[in-house]
Amino acid sequence: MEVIRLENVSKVFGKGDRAVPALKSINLTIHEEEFIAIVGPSGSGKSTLLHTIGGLDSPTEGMVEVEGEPIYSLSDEALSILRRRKIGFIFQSFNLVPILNVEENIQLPVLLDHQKVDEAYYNDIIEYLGIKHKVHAIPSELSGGQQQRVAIARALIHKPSYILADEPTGNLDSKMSNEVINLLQLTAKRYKQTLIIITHDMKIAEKAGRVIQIEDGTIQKDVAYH
Amino acid sequence: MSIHRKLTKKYLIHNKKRTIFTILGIMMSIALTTSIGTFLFSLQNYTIEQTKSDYGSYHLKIKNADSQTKKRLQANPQIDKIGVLSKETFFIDSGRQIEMNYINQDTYTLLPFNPVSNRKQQGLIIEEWVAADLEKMDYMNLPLMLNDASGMKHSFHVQKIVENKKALRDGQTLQAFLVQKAVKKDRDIDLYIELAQEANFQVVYDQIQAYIPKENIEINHPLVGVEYSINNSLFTIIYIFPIFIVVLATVAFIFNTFQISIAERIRDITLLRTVGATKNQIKKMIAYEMWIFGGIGIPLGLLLGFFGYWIVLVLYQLIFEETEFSLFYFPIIFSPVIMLLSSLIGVISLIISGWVPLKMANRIEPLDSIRRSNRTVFKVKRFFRFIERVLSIETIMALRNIRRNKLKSIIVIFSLSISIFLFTAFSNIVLMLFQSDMDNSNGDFTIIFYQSEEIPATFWKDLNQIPEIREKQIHYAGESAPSQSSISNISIYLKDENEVDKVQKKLDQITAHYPNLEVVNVHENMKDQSSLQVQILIYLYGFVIAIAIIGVLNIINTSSMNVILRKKEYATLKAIGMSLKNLRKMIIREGLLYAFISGFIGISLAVSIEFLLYLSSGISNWERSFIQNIAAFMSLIIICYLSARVSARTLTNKDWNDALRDE
Repeated sequence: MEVIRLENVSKVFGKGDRAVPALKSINLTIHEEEFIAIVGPSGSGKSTLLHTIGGLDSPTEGMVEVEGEPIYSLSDEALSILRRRKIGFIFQSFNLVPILNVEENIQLPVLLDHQKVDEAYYNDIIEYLGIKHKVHAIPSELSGGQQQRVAIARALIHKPSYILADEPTGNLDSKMSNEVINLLQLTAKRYKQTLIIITHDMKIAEKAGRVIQIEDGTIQKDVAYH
Repeated sequence: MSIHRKLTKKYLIHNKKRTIFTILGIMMSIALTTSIGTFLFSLQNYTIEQTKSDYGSYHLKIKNADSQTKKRLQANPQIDKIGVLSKETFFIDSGRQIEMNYINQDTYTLLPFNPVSNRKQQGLIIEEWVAADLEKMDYMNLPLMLNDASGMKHSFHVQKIVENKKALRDGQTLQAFLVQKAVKKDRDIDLYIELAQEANFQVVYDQIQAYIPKENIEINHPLVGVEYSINNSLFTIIYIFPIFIVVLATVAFIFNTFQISIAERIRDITLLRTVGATKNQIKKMIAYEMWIFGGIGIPLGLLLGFFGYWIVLVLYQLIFEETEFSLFYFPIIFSPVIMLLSSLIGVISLIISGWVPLKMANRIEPLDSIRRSNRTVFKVKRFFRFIERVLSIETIMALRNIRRNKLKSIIVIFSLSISIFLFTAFSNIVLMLFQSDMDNSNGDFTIIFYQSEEIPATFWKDLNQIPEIREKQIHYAGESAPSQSSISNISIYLKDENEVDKVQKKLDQITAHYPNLEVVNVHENMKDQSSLQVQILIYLYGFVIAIAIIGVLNIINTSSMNVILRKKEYATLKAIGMSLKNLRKMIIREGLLYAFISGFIGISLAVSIEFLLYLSSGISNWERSFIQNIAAFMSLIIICYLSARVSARTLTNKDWNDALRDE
């Protein structure tokens, strides 16, 4: 089932002489439970595309629909609610909140939604990700791999439909990278999520069911393997 | 130009707003120190001039001296001027005694002669009350013929009439002064000594006691008090306390501003370390930045402080009439020492402010900036965890953000607490000071008796002949049995308060011949006192506002800085579902928490001071001060809310992309 649709999406940073086009007329359709890898050289527009899909950065032109709803016509409040309920972001540099401990970082999207944490689900995630013994630690006390597991747990806690990961293994060694990708794949399957990953690593891209290659803000290749 | 200078310049130009804000902050702080310093310096100068005008500019008087003593004193390098006075008794034809004081030019400048009229080129100098007495005897327009002790007649003209000054006379005997080129007598003379500017009073006093009996040395206490008594408690309250507070606030503000400016690019600095910059080069960069900020901010602050104060003074003098209670009717004096001290405070603040981030930058190893390891390490205590259970996530994060950088938070809380403490303490003290003075239950006029003396029957007769007077109450000094010589004052009640001006003239006429009596118009006094109250409030609140501005700037500075420094963090929060409204709410709550903490500390301190005053004076005004404290607290909340709102508004929906990608 088609869940995300981008229609003629363009994004330009800056104005006048300093205008830099990051995305040029992107048309893209994403289906439920797909595992997509976005690849391309640095500065090609991968992150901008991911942020645009995730409702973080409005396009200069075009329309982004999530589950049939044009998200950029929503108010900031409604868009924030959509993000905290439907989308889970994972970043290369983990982006954990330094003043919160592991437990608080993971539960943050639920707390922001003024909901009660599903304790059984939470315990399930932290056990599955192997961070149960670290729940009272603060981010600076964790290794890179552990921090990324916390970031993954945070992206999963509110049972989102879409996981958007921006080079989630960029700061990890190959063994840890492998583990993280396997984890993401497994959790996506387990919780029936659509997984979109930006990566430079072709080994990771090979694991995806669909690979989209971006260059100069345009989709050069869009190949489905499985 | 060296690379570190180039980089610093580029950074400052690139961040124009921050550079201007930092310079403005330094300028404001220096201006505050300069204006308060100039005010206190001018006030002290004015007090000294007033004291000299009332009591003379001599520091010591030596009685029964001779020319030998004078020569010895002249040899002392710490003594600047010595005036000589010798006395001779004369008699008017009526047989009344008049004391002639022969003085030299130096004595003329050392005694408090304030001319009210000049009549001749040469002749006698007499006080107003003496002139009134001579006028009564028809001597004023004639040459005054006086007989000396041997019966020989001498003719004198009155050259000048000067204001009545208690410091010029002993008792009620008529007296006159005659300036001579040199006083002829060389025994039984009085010497008036003025010390050199840099002299040490105590040293000179001890030195001369070695050859002059102590009972012959008289100190001009009022002048010595204002010129030399640094240990005086009033001096401490008026001078040291405000300066101390202002200096602390200045140092805190410059520290906060400059530290923020450096902290903002601590990553840039550490990145420079990765590409090979030495610690020394980084040190030079920060020093150069300090030099630029100080080089522009300090001189501008000095100018703003001096001329700002001058403008305030001019406006004040346009609004308020001069009365004997006027606070600011004195000339502004430019003091290079104040300018130097203010600059020094600025430089020291900048050095301290630069030193901390420099240490911070130098402690970070080059690799840390690449790893971007997060250095925020603090554990949430159980107590806070308990409180946090009932708070929203925005408030929890605001609370933790305050605890995140303790030094910065302490500076903000300190400057706000000081403002609220000063405001409430000053308001309550002013309330206490004025509540007992503002009534006229002691009559419409008071005649004060400065020295015990027998008042002739004509005085009482004249007083009884004023028909507008309804009642007189005579008050006696001390415990002794009431007698004419122990009268301290007379309260006079009028039949009709509209007759005040008429009665004032009559009372002035009656008391003109009595130098030790003073008529006080209670109505005028009350008017002047309420004007004084307004003036004191203007001074105190002006001071509080200046300190409060620093506090508010600290809040704006800190919150805006946090918005810049935590952009990536805010972007993450935004990504995981926090709305812009909630992000702003979090920033505003941080500002409000600062207000609550500072308000609590400031008001607690003020109430403690008030309680101590109540214990010592017994005066209380709890109800009014409670309302004032609540008003102050609410004002602080509103000010902090608005300040934090200003910073929160700078956070927009733009640039999340860059912030998230900022590796």
